[in-house]
Amino acid sequence: MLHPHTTRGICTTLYMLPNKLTCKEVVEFITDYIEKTLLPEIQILVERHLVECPGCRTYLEQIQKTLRVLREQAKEPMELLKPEQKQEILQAFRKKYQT
Amino acid sequence: MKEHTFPVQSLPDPTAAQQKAVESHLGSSAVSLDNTCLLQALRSGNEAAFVSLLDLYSPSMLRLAILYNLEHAVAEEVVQETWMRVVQSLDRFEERSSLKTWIFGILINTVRKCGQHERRSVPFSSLPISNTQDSESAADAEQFFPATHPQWPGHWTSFPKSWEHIPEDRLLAQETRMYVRKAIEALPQKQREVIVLCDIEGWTSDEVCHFLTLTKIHQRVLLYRARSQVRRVLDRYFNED
Repeated sequence: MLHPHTTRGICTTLYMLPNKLTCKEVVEFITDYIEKTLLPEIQILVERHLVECPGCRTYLEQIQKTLRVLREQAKEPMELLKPEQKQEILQAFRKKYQT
Repeated sequence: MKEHTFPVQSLPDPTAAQQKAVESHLGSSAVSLDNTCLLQALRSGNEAAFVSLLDLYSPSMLRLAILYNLEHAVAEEVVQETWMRVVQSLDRFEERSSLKTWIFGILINTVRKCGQHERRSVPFSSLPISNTQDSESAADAEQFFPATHPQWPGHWTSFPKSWEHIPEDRLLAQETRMYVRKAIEALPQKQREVIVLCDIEGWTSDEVCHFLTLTKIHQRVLLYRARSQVRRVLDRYFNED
């Protein structure tokens, strides 16, 4: 059975490559597909499947949009430290490294 | 008390090389700060360098602490305590990892030491999913015909519904981000750590593996499961209309 996490440089499992992947296998490969870390043989199989399977194309689209929303989280304004907290830290820094 | 500001140019002592190292490394959004000059600047008491480090990392640290289900005020205290520990330990930092990894490692240890009562509970009922069990296989298995199916083994039982109709502003809206945040907070700890560091904080997989002491395969599995779960939450949210 194809190991779902066969990626460049870390595959140590011998397997027979099937002609086609199932949707379940493609879904398990999607993270590696997006990260471009699949072995070329697996990449081709995934791409071939995506051409033929609207369900998996939709799944890929959803994961890509999920990643966009996740990245937006990093843009949410977060506060810096409160001034009094920052002062306390700076005082500790000065005491340790400036005296 | 007047708040002090520390523009780099006003510092009396740092060498030009130290200042340049600080500016070049802290000026960019890439946060791999393992330059020896920066460390030397910090250890020699370069306050501008230290302030820049504080300002650069504190927002991410606060965001990470909150995603560990800490109340906001507690998360602030955790970040402050982390910096105090960084200050005390900086002279003993052996550079076996990057400075960033080391600082965030202290943060995670400080978070983990927080008592359970400090944590917010994330009611599962607040999420548009029926359960959040840590079993990507169990949840995903429902979506596919079994391997023994005579016609469609391993294929979708029904295709997922496209999100093409979701307008951009809804995709990136505050409410969507809130569901994502809740989905992340409900993840098992390791999955939460991996998805936050990889997909929100932009760490490389090598950095994450080193930081969390994971093999590459384990990191990929955790990331796959976490992303699948967040996708599932969003899918139900977008399709509940």
